[in-house]
Amino acid sequence: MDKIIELKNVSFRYSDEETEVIKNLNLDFYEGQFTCVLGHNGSGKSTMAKLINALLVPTQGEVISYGFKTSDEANEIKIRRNIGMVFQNPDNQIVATIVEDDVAFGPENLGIPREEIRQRVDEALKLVDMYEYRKHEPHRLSGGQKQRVAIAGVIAMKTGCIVLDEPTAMLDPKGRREVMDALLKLKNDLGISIILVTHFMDEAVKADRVVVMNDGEVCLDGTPADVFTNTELLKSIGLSVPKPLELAIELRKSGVNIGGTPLTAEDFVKEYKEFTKNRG
Amino acid sequence: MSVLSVKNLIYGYSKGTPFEKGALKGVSVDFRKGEIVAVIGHTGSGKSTLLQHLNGLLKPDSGEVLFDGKSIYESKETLRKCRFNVGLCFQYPEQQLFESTVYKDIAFGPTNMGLSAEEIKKRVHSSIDYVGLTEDYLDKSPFDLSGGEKRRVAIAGVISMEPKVLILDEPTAGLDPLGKNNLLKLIKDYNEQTGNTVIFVSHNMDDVALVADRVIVMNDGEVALDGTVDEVYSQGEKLASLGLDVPEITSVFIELNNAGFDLGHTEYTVEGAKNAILNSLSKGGAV
Repeated sequence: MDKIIELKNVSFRYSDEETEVIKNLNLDFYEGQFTCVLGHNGSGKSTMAKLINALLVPTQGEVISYGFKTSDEANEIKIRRNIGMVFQNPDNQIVATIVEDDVAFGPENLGIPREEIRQRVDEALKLVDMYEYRKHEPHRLSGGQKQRVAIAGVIAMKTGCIVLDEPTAMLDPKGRREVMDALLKLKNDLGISIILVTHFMDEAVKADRVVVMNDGEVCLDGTPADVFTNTELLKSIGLSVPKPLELAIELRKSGVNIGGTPLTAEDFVKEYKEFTKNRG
Repeated sequence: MSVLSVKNLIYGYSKGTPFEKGALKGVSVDFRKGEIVAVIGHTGSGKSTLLQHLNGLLKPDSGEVLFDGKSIYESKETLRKCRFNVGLCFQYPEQQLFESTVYKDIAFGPTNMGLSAEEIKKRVHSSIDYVGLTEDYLDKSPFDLSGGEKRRVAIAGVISMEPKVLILDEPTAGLDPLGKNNLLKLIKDYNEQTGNTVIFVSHNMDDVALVADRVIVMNDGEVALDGTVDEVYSQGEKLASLGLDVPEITSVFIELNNAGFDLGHTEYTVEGAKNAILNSLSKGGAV
């Protein structure tokens, strides 16, 4: 897989603070991958997300996004044409009074011809399953719907990568599912690279790769199954573990040897069947 | 004994416009003294609307709100009494901080209650302690704090009024797992140490299972289920049909039962699930 973003020995400190939020971080992101970044509040994960698309520039080291160095101001526009960003609060990122106008805002700023904008907006709204709401007023939508409109706004700019900073934190379970489904579809159907910063383990379980940050550094990096096996470490840094896995681990302690790394209820049932079968 | 109750509450939004929507359709609930009640339901189910009736922020189209057995709309005094005794903390309460110091912000409620300077001071100190912050926070500007700290200061501002009923609308929204656990502990502590009632809204079924004595499930402006955590959570399939996420362990149990393993009623904690599985295995032979 091609490397799209590269963080090399990156440190970052906010100007009014003494401590470094990011400490000598080395991390790469790859094309077409769905990466989840986990970490508790203050672990540096949101700062990392903002470093990727040049909203922040490192105090030390360098970030290269799509071949462009983020510290060079002349690169900003080029980087943002490749990396779109969606934030936590749906109410803070909607600018227009009609859904389709909001989605058109990005491509309009790119100077794209009218007919093509029309086409891109319709496609984007269909992808996130919001096409039938195209004439609605955004403020009457639910949180999950608003976030999908925000995501459509990024898709309409045809960026290769979308970075989302806790996009589901303010949503209810239904809204969270809608957003996750939309993201998985973008990755699977269009090959868009997704970098999702989140607190929710059930979202991380669906990713190709999970990066756990703690105290400005990467402390775990691998597939969900690899990462979540480190239950004690995760708990010690204030994160939780998917409950089916926790149950399997607890059962193993009592001599019930359920195999694998069951991250979901389905996985667990599969492993449990296997276990009872072997037991005869 | 019920401390707060609502009877046949009916309330609609945007009346007389094309957006008219019935938010509460005849809701009756008794909140008893000393219990922790979780109100759950998908967005638009009417749970926030219900909470806003409990201290008279919204006035019902019809129906009654009783505090200590008296209608809160009986007189100016009864409404005032209700406002001071039923403390309501909105979603994202940190957005409502406004004073120049944490001390002044927490003192705002008690000051309005007309308490003596000495009593106000005592309450500010005890409530900052309650929410797990140290006293050196009192002189800071609330706007210099982190999101989680701000939320705790905002909650301290409500606790300082020592409400008989503390109501929190989605208190853990947006917090990381550690911040969430601290806040749940705060709910439990306030309830245990003061014996006061706590009512909170949550979307997280696992959080609810940790602290609540009783669960009320709202759906389409009505109470769909009302009972202990055990009673409500054992109806996993019904919960799913109401658009709610069942706890992860509950879905493990539903799937195990569907796959033909008879493990009895649905468990919702890792501990309970472990015991149920060990039990069933030991019945079926040696582990």
